[in-house]
Amino acid sequence: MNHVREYRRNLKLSQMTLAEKAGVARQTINLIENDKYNPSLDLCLKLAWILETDLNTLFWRENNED
Amino acid sequence: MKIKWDDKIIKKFFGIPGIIDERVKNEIGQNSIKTIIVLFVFEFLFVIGTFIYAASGLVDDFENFFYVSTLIQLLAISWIAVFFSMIPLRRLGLIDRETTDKNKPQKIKQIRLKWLKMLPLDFGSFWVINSLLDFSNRNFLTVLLNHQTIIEALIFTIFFSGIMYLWESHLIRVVKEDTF
Repeated sequence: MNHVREYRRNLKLSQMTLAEKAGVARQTINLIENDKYNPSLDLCLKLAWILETDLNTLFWRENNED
Repeated sequence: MKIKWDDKIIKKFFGIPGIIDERVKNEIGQNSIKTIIVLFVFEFLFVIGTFIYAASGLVDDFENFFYVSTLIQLLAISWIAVFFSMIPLRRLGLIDRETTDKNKPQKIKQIRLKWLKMLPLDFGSFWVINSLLDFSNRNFLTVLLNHQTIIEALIFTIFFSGIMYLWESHLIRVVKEDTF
């Protein structure tokens, strides 16, 4: 599981606000948070930048993680 | 954010209310490829079939044969487009109008207003098109100002706007407040 939801909530952003900032649909953010869509590298970078973190922290998964 | 012209076309053609992002384009692309393959197979087989049948000498009335084959094509193409393109997009929620429970009445009002504003344009378009497609050798202006043409355009506009309003209201999907 990625950490998009956690970081979004930490910054008190709604899915809609994050989607608007990233220039995507709200459903796309919802699917990324639920690991049902693999975003492009460009979108990952954009999300990391908006959520004030880096790619590794946001998307890195340990081997034993689902 | 400025919307690109090709995204505008995709939005209008598929009736997608939201942003055309990479995921939306991806889903549309996949469904469009399936639709194109099915359309190609259908058209290929249908054209071969009608050609063989027409050349077989079994057809007496080519005029009726033409009407029937074009009608079958029209219905089949529409069905393929809806079944392989529009229904999957609907299932994915791409054509849903999202709103919160609190904003639902406002959203319905917006849709109603939109179709009310469109009434004159719909009426005018159908009135002119209906008059242009009149093949009774009457003068265009005579057909245009004929009260029957006006009534027909009025009836069409009311039905069309009503159906579109009901369809768009049906597409409203309430999402949880905290996601906004």
